[in-house]
Amino acid sequence: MDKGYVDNGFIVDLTSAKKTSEIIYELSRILDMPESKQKHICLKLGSVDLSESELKSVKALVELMDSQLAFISTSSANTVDAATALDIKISEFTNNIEAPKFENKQAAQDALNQLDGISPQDTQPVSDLQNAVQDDISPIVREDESSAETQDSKIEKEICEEQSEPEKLPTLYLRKTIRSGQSISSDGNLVIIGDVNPGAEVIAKGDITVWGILGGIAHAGKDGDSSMRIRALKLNPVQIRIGEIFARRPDTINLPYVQKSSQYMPEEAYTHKGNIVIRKIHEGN
Amino acid sequence: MTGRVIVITSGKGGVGKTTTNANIGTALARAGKKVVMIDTDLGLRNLDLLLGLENRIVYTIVDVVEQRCKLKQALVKDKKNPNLCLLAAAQTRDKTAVTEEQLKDICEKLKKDYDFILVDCPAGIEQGFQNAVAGASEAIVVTTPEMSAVRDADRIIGLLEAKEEIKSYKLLINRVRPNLIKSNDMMSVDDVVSILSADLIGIIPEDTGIITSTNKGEPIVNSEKSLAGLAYRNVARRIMGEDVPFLNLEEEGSVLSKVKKFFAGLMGKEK
Repeated sequence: MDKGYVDNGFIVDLTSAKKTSEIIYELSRILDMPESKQKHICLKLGSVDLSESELKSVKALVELMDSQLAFISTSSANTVDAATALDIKISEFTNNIEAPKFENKQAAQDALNQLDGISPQDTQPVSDLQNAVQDDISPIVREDESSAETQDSKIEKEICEEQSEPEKLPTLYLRKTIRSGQSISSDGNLVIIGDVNPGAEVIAKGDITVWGILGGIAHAGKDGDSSMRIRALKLNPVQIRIGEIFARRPDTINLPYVQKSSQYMPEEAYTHKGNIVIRKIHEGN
Repeated sequence: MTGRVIVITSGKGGVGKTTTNANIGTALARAGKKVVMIDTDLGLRNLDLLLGLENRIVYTIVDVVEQRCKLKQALVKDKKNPNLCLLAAAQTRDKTAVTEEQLKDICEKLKKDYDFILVDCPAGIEQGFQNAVAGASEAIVVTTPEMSAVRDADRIIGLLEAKEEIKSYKLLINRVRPNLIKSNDMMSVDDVVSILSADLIGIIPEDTGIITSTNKGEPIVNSEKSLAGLAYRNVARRIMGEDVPFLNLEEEGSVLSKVKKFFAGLMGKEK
């Protein structure tokens, strides 16, 4: 496959990038151009070490723009490992086919400085775009860096997960409104009969169930178990975290508060392929 | 006599704690109750200005605490109403000059001679708030129909719920503008109540008269014409246990809107 060029596509030279944030910034800038749509893209990644989850984000970014990641080239052993794990083709080619030239690098540099130090979960544009694409599945998601693990430990973890089903955990049951500034944490499941107001946070090792409006931050599976679920009569959280995965309220939805109503459609948040998905509970299981 | 100690608090600044305090206090005194107001906003005192008593202050709460005077000497009598008096805050000291225990002690002493002790709480949730709440057994949480004020009120209610001494708290929504609510530009009273899930004790409409009354040092409850004044008098009656319906602000329009309505009616008849 290494022909030194790419069919219906182009090579993106990112060898000058020193950090992951620079790669993501540069790549999103290039992919934003209309002529980058529906192409096979080859990335020259240079010496930057990319973890599995970071590489996955890069791949997701490319695919979001309706393009495909044809193959990558890199001089970093870590990136090679990550690519192998993700089944991304690797090329060692060296040639001089020109990468597209983009002007105005200086302005980009300023923006880049602000991006420095941003870890993968902060690359929110991915979330927003994805959201725009998948209209009905509201919140979106990215994997956290810490979720990148070897296959072995993942298997181990799955065994653990089976052992810690929510039914087997103790449950903290509270009948009160959780208000701004309050934090409730449970080593098992958490059931709240009342609202969780914006500015409050509820954290549980197992499931979280709110018999009311969930408006604050909810974190189920605090020990990293992403099979846990968050349920509420109305889900309007600023942020949801399940295990290592997290999603925030999209900027396009501006609902600082939800009016109480006599009719609720209970909702449930769970993880699906590394994303957090919200659905109405009675829409089938 | 055992008086009721009510703290008036909000979390956020500028929502009208002090105005509420001055007006409810005055209204209660007009109804014949013996009322003392304690300003605990040390260093940023305002309550004396609203009551027009600034020039009469000789001793402050810090003087009482530091035993430079007797408690009775520090109580400043209102200009008009002998039932009403004020224990002023010291302007030259900060919140650390008084402790929770000392305030509790002062409230206990005042309970014997007064029906109501209204404690004006400073903004924030630090020592000043802790001091103000220390002696109280009831609270009125003041908020406005804005997200930031509601969020802070929510925080305050959470803190009040955690305090054993506070037996009950009520919500007062200030600066309500019915026309903005109608046009969906402001949170409605129902929205605020539903977020905070607390009992309501009063809805005060926005009233430009408050500004002039503050500048004059004359609480607006003394003005019979003002809608805000009427709302505050109603709050005082509810505090005294009366069952007073809330004002229907939407119908109490301005003169202009009444005239418009009148003409709209005429036009309707002609057709």
